[in-house]
Amino acid sequence: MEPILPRILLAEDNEVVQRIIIHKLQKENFSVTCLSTGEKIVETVNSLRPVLIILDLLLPIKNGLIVLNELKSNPALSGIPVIIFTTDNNEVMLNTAMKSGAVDYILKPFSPDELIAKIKHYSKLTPLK
Amino acid sequence: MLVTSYFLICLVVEMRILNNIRNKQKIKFLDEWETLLFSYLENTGLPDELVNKIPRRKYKYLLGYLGEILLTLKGKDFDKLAALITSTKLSGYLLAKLKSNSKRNIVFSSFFVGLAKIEKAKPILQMKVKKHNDQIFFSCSTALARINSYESLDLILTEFKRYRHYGYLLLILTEFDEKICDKIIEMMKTELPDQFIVTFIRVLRYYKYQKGGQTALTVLVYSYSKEILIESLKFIEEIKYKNAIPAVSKLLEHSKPEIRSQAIKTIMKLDSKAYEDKVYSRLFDNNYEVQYQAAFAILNCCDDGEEKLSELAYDLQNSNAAAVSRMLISEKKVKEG
Repeated sequence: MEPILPRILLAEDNEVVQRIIIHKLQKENFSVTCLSTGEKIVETVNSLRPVLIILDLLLPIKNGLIVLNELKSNPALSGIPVIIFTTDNNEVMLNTAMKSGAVDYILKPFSPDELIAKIKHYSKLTPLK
Repeated sequence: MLVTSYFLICLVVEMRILNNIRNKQKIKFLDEWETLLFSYLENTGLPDELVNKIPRRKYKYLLGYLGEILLTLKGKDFDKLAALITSTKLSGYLLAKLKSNSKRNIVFSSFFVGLAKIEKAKPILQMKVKKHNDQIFFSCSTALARINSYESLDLILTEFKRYRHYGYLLLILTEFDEKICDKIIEMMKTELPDQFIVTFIRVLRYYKYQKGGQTALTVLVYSYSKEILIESLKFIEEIKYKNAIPAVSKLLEHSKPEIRSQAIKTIMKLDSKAYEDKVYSRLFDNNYEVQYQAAFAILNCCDDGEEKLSELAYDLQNSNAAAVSRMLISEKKVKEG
């Protein structure tokens, strides 16, 4: 029987960035689900219950801040750590996200090693090698 | 009319078909080569070994992929992927395109030589910057900035005078690394057009460059330009440069309301306690924006801000100040639920 891998939800609209993060996370024994818009994140989180969410602030259809507020106002989902992932070096927006309950943030351009380290830290997991 | 519509429809259909073909080719390329690229990233193989396997006609897909990824990565993965351009025949391919006379080729290759920081491209880029073409100027200047070619700064600024899109100049200058700030501070000691000074201060602000505080203070004391004064105030506020407090406080009485407004914001970030009374007096300014900023600052920065505004809220002798106070108190209550 294959082990059940901890699932990460990646909400990011750039396909190339998605592919490289998936590759890096799979190598660390995480399973990854990707979404390119903000529209169905809450539903997906509800059904998949990931151990952590990586959330781009500038998503099409519904932006990351709205999604974050929806997640944090839902008692069943509010405990899932959210890492903000954005190109926007806007302190006001990042502060708002942190105040809204994000645990940390990563600015693009990003170092995959740094991202993995934060994911491991916040998901409190020792990946199965 | 009918014929024109027919041709337009044909054109749109053709463009969609071409776009679909290109997307399919790109996906096919990624399916074929991405595994190799990823295993290369995991320390297996040399850059040359990978690039030599890719046919020259597929370079554009490889570069398209690398371009997107290099823009979003940093650290060792960035260095490894950049090496696919800098240490392989891709570098020669791009330099040849850069040397050509085609605008499309120059713009395309300058993007990649800049991203991958190909030092050898510097003399060609410097030559192209002088081409008297705005697209070539901006793409080649950006590439020089990404390579951190400080020696090209004078050339970029001289040639820029032809175009005068200061927003673009800011974009170019912020592509240099933080060390550009020292060069800018040196340049600000000489006589410059106002728009250059404004842009330079914006660059210092972008980098939150603490060492630029004294320069901004000098500008604040000696400049008469509204734009320069406002930018200097914003920068001083950003880096919290306390030595500027006396100069900023003088601007609370400036003849231009935009400057008084910004001075209120800045002084309250620097030392809200000491200047509370001075800012309070601006509630009775003859300009609405200044009154609003003063009320906002009092409410948000003073311990007894809400009490102070409440006292004023129904003062019939100061109807504007009273209205602003009522509005801000009410907004605060709505926010607090």
